[in-house]
Amino acid sequence: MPLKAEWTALVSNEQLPVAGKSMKVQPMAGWNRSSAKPSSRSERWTRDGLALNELTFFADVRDGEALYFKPLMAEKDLPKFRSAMLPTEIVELFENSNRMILASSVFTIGKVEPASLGNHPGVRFSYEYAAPDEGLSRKGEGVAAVVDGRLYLVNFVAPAIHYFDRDISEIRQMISTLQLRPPKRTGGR
Amino acid sequence: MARVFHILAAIAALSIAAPLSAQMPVATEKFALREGFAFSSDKPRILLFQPEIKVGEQTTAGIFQNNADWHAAASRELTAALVRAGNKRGFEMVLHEDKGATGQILIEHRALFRLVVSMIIRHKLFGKDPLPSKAAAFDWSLGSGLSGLASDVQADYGLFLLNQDSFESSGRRAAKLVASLMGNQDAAGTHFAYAALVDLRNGDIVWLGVDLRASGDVRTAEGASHRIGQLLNGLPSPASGQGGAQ
Amino acid sequence: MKRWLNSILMTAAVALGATALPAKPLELLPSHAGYQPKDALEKGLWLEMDQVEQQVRASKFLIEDPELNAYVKSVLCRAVGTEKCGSARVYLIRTPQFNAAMAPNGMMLVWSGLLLRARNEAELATVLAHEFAHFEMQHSLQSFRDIKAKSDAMTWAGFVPGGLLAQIGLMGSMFRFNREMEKRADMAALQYLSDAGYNPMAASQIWEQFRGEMEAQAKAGKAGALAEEANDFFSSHPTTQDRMNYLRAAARQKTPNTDTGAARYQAAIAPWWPRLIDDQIRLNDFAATHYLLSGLARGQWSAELLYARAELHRARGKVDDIAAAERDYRAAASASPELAESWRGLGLLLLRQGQEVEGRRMLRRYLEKAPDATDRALIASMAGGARP
Repeated sequence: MPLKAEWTALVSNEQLPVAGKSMKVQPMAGWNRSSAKPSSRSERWTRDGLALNELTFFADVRDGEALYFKPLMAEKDLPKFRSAMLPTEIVELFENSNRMILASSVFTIGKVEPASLGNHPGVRFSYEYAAPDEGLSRKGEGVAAVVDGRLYLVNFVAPAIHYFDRDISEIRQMISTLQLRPPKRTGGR
Repeated sequence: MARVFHILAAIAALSIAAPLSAQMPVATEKFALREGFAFSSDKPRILLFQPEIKVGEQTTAGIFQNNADWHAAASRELTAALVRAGNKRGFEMVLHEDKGATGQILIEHRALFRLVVSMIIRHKLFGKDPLPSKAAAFDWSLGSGLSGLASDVQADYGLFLLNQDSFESSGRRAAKLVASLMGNQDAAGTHFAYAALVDLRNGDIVWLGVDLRASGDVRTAEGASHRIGQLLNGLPSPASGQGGAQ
Repeated sequence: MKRWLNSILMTAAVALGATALPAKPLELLPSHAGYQPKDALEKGLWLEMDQVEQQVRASKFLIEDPELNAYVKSVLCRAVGTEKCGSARVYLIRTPQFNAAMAPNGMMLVWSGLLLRARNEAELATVLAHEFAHFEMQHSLQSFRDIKAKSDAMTWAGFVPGGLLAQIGLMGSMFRFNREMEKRADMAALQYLSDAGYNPMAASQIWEQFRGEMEAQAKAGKAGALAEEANDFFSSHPTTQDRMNYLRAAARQKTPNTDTGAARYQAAIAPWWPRLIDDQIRLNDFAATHYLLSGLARGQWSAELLYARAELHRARGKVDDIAAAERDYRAAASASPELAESWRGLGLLLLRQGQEVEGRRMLRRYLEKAPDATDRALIASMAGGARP
């Protein structure tokens, strides 16, 4: 059974802090924020229900922390983020964590390219996967950056039919206006 | 570590856990209608997709046991009842026939459809986990992927039905009687159905009816008619204009 | 009463299964063409499994590669005979664990983790024939009848004060019933293997490999891995040790044969192998995967195996792992310079160690070998200088 979540509407016309204090975004109309979090450093939004569009923000993930809470049934620990990880390793961390959470080996990373997140250099990756027993594919896209040894990541995922293509340009627009103000600002390049 | 297993045992183990005491939400029958919906013509053509049906028996311990004869009867009777009900409401009913290439498209859209319905039930219909953005809206869609399928048969709308019935065995009833004496309560088997009308041009779900504790014995013509009549309650007729969302 | 009845019926069924070809079958077995389910319960099971099979056919986990499917089916046909194998419909499922199953309607599911672990055709044939024997002897059907009867009894026992004990007792017998079936399926599979001209020792060898993997996992402190040794009461299968012993002893009674079909097997699996090992490495299970790789290599480390071991070490990333990974990447690259991923792995490892000049050189080599790589844009930016 999924955790009982409380949902709040995102109607603000201003930049809104997400997943803590250091990340701010301009929310889109019609989206909802969940009180149930996939980890203590993240936050989740949806428009039509998480199975149909799931937008997750991770902020201030520290060295040694996993991306998600360990699922109750999981036999093995989830892989951990390391401050010194290369962009390729961030993508690998994301893929391997999700394969374990979803119990899926039908998961393929597509294009991986340099990108920026809140004016910090990072990586953008696309992917496609299937969850067991659902009979449909999902497409996803993530943008990540490591700033002052902490990981910031925004991930959007939705069914490949209709939902991903309908929402992705709005999501990209939102990500392009995202602001990052990491706590210890030593001039993250 | 996984061992060589039998899918059957896995299924049995899952259903063995069906508890003797189940809680049901207060409202068990609900529907939703897309705002401002109106049929595109006086006699819309409706493509009826093959219903997804499961009919069986709940054994004493709560294991679901499929029954092939009941399944055949329910498939026949529910399809006939849908056609009768549709015709009576002024629709022109067309039965969908699987044709090779379109088969895969339909399979994938059925998977998406099941997911969409589960989200509507969870977030809209029974008030268990409401999404604020959907409080005044009923605007879920499957996208335009089924439009080719529709134009093949010149259909305007598609009708989907899912129906699951698990009748109690006599042993199950007796065990429940003992359980109730000891203070446990239970539902009388599981009888669950939903139906949806989809605009095939754009994939919009225009109407969804859900019945968590459906009545009527779907193995008989009369019972199936009763079940379908209840389920389609709230589906507007082309002649009578449109109703409001409940 | 019921137990006695079942086991007598089963002994008869096994006699049929063990001789493989009954002279005059009184009734059709499920493995014969035209077999139809008999009573309501069996018909219901078939319907249930037909519905599952529809889902399997539409599943995104299905490996559709026609060549690989044809190969696995051909191994089943060689093992159980071409007259019988037509009753099975084989589906390959992309899941890295070791598993296979066959349903009463003839649907056989083979997980890709089995293809990864089998070292030759004879080992694969062992597991396929084992599942086929369950199917032929109608074990699923009997299990369902038995589980249904016993779980009904359990529900009643639950109302009786002190009923918990009765419940546990019934559960014990439910699973023990399964263990007997497992042993019968094992012995029938061995007979098939031997009749088909495979090395009969393969039957115990795949269990030996599997047990080794579980032991390695247990030693690494992963809970539950070897619990089956202590927990023989609830285990639905013979313990692996027990299984190895009786299979080895029985194999010695068969005609010796050294044909394992190892070369054929490796050629058939080769196009899929990189994906299968990648799925396993991403399970984050170092000890089991390390053991598995050693078992597959048996001292002969190919470039692909070296690369896989390097990736495994790099993913764990402990201090000793870095040197081990570097060694394996280099060995893989020199064994097969065209294996582009080795250069990528080596380059990234060196960059991570601060050896930027050589690291970038290796990444450029990767890009030369794999000009169409999906991560080209990112790797090019890392190889070119500024590290994002």
